[in-house]
Amino acid sequence: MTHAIELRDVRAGYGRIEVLHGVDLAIPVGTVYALLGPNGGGKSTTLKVISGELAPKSGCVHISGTHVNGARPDALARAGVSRIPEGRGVFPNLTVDENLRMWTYAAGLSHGEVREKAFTRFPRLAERRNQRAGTMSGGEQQMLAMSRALVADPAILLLDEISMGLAPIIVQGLYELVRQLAEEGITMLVVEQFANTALAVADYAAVMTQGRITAVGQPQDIAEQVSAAYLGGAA
Amino acid sequence: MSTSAADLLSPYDDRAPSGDPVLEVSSVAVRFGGVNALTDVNLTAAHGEITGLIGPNGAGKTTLFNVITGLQEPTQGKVYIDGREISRLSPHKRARLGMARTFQRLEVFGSLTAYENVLAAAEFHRSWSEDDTPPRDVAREVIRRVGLGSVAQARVDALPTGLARLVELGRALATRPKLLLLDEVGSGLNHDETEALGELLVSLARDGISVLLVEHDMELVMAVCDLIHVLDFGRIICTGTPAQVQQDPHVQAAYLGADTDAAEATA
Amino acid sequence: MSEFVSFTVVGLVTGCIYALIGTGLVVTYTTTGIFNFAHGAVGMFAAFAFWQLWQGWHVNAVVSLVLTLFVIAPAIGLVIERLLMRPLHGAPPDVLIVVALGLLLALVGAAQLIWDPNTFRRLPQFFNGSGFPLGAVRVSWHQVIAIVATAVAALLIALLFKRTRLGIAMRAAVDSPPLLAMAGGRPTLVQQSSWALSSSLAALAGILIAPIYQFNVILLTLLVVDGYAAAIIGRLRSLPIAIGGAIGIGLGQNYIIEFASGSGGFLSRIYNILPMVVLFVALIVLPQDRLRTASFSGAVPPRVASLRSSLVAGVVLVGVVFVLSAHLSIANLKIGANVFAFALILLSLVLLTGYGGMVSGGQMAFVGLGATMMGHLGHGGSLVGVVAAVALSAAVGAAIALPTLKMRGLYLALATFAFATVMDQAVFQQILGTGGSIQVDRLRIPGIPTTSDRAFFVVTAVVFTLAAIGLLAVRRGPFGRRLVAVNDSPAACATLGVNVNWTKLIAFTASAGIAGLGGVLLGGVPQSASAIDFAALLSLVMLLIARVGGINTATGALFGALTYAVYQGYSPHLPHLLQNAYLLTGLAAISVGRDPNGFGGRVAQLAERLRPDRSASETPDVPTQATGPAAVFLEEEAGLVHVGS
Repeated sequence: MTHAIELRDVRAGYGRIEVLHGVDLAIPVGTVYALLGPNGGGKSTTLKVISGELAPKSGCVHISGTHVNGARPDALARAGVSRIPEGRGVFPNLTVDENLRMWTYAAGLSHGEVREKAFTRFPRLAERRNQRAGTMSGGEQQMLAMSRALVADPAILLLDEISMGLAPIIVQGLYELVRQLAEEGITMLVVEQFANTALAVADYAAVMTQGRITAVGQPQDIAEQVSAAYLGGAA
Repeated sequence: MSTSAADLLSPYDDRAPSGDPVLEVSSVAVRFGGVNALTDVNLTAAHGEITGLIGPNGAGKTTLFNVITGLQEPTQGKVYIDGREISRLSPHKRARLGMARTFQRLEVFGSLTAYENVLAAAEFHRSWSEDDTPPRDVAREVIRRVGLGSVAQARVDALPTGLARLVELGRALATRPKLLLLDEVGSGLNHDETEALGELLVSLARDGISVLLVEHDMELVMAVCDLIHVLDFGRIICTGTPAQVQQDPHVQAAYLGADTDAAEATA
Repeated sequence: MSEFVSFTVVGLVTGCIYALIGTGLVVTYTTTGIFNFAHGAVGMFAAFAFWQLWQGWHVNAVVSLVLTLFVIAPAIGLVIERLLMRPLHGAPPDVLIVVALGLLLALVGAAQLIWDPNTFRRLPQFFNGSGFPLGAVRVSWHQVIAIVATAVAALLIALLFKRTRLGIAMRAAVDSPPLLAMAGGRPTLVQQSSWALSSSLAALAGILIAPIYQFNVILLTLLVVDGYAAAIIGRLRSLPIAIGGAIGIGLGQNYIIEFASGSGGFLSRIYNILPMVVLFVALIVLPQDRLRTASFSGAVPPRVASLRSSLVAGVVLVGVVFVLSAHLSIANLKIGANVFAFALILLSLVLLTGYGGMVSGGQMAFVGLGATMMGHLGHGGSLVGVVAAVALSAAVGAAIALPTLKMRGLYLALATFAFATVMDQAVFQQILGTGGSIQVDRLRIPGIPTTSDRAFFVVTAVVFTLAAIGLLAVRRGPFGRRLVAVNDSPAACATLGVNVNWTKLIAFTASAGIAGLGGVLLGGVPQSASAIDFAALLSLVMLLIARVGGINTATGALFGALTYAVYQGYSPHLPHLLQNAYLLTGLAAISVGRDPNGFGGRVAQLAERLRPDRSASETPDVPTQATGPAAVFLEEEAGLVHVGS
């Protein structure tokens, strides 16, 4: 069976510093896959390799069965791979509507079409359309950031710590959305600090520490390894 | 005051502990715009102990370090060193009372060599203290203890991040502080390297240096800390020994996120 | 009343032109992080191109205007973006400044090459200056066009930024270029558009202002400097505030003239310096955003020469000068003395900018103070004059440093440049008189003949050599390390107990003192000093040749001064060379973008390569066998670390 995303022995890093020391990952189509582990383990770097923002030093990256090493982010974006970056993926000094206008580049849609899609998915954004994005709540900003990926009808969505700094109730709402999107058939790779939150919606999960995948399995099978990776020792 | 080489890493100001904690943070709050980065934070670091400060990303650990060292003015609250209030002192005056730190986002002297980084700090210390130990002696001893000997002559901006962090540690030690604030000094190190770092920290504490340790490597934190404060969303949610902290349900929720039931309970 | 109206109209026109300039500066600064010092030169060049089309080739005025504003000016902007600015991404602020200054000089040089400055040209006002009466006042159509054109330009820019995808993308690029790229927008296209737009705005300003003031390459270029204040009032990001500030300055300047007509000459001087005073005050008072430039990763400053090698080099230099002095003509002896005087001035920049990272755009003000003080108190070459000159320069340096200590990079450069302009126009031209001069005696040391041309040449060489050896010794010592450390990381220094401001203050004061001493020598060469010797623009030229020569080495200072003084000395005899002076200097400065350590850095690199055993003598005996975490790191990840690189 073809995987939506497949990494084989991927090594990557910044300058002379290697961050990923041989990562293997296989993500079936239409699943929610959680990538967990403590900070500095290489989770975000893995996402950047998949989205084409960082070229691997060695190893293979396959998207939907196609070898894509070295493809540029915009090419991958057209092929349906979208990453929501860590922090807020919005332009804080532009209004919501102006942000949506920027999404027309990648989506290849008119401003009106982008607006309609975004507002249908997130009615809250329609209420805020003339407000500067930076003045909205963290959850609303995250909706706006996710609307960028969603208006382009992505096949694969890479979510990088979407819950950082957000209150639990908002995080819950966002993961409700993740569950919905999964039902629509979008493959999702979720990097998350809050392991339990991600595990609650994930079909599979992997634990990453110090640039290597140290455990893979279904959520219930690896809960213990996850806990150990975060809080140390056999807690 | 003359000091033997082995003592060069102990605090210069080694008066007997007054009974007060070396560091006391009292009701500190920091607001950026409408965001509460820190809310009513109280914590202490005891003499000669390693105190851990942990919490998920964005919990406010670095902000708290900035408040303690004077780089960030708190919206409210006070900071004490040895029982003396220092909340209104500028950063360099606080440093002169015996505190030194490292930075999560590197702040090395990139155009100097590793040795010169440490030497400069030793010279700074000599210029504002009464310590008349030759800075070169201090720098050599620091380089030896941290193990930087074979990269001593390399410019720091050419070093891997992990090593550059250790240069920052060495630089802080060269001011012979009584309170050492370490902000993720171990990130970028592998297992063996982290273990060696742990040994160094324990030996520094034995020499009388109080350490406040922000670190993501839980194995290190749990192994070396006497007491741990856990910060989440700008609040201290738990203070205790490593074992207590590991068992605490709030801490587990903060780190692992509430699963759906717990989240509903919180909401 | 009618006078008031007419001053208001003139003030509005001036203000509108400042507004166009300020707008163009803000557009490129916000989208690219570069403050384009050459903005005025672009406007000048475009105005001349317009003249060529309209007056030179008799093309229809409207066609000429359209061609200039919408074809030629944007093309200049695009060339600048592609060839100069794009490779500078992430360069340190003073390299950005120097490259922009290089562009300024290169454009001035190119304009003089194309349009012979000795030929008289006139750019007529629109409708030949005809107008209509407004009450008791006559308003020209040119003035109306200037005001309307500015309003239309402002409106169009507002529409661009609010209503078009490209304009919104330009604002998005200010927030986050990586996110713009991720969203599929093209940051490069955004930057090209902003350079093209700002060039068009500069062209419009140039075309409007040239017929009102003088149609002269250099004057037109400098006139635009007055628009800087507007951009800073807008904090380099707000267009409405910049435009409002510009009109305020324009009106203020002209109301001052109205008052001045009744009073003495003092107020009329304020007219000239008002934009610079506003610039200086605005920089101090308005909280500035963090500069958007990162630190330069590619430039590794050369190794600092050891005491032994700097002593040897010094002895050799003085020896060569001594022998040479017996064989040089008087004219050449003077050029030689100028070399060392300028080298000393550049040395003050090595300390301040090269080591300390503080970019001074006003060093000639301290030089001028030194020379003036020597002229007043150093009669007969007395040492009192020298001491007073150094002390005054240092004291003024400290006074200027105090309010500017917190500024970094560009802001400091602009503030010091504003200071130098004020000193130039309100002090030197006042004390020395415009075109006048005072006598400056050469330093006399009792018992040693020091005042002949030959002896003075040797004296300047000795003074420079001692200063250079001293500076290098300071750089190798604790203060030097502290200064470099403060430049690399002020936050780390503060948390290690260093009083950062105090350290900067000392460096600034010392640098001003050295520059003052340079003034004593510089005035001593012709034994006179006049205001044009310390023109504000020369401060920028000093910064430029310091960079070209090499801003972090004494060798670089000497090389820069040698090139500059020899060129200055010989160019009057070689008119063709003089004509190309600006072009050549400009091109040299532009090259700094590719090689930030300059010529001195190259020499140091070469010397490094020739040394048989690198750095062995300087290695402190640090123990290499140890068990600390770093030693474990080095053992396990040896492949990642190249020791001694």
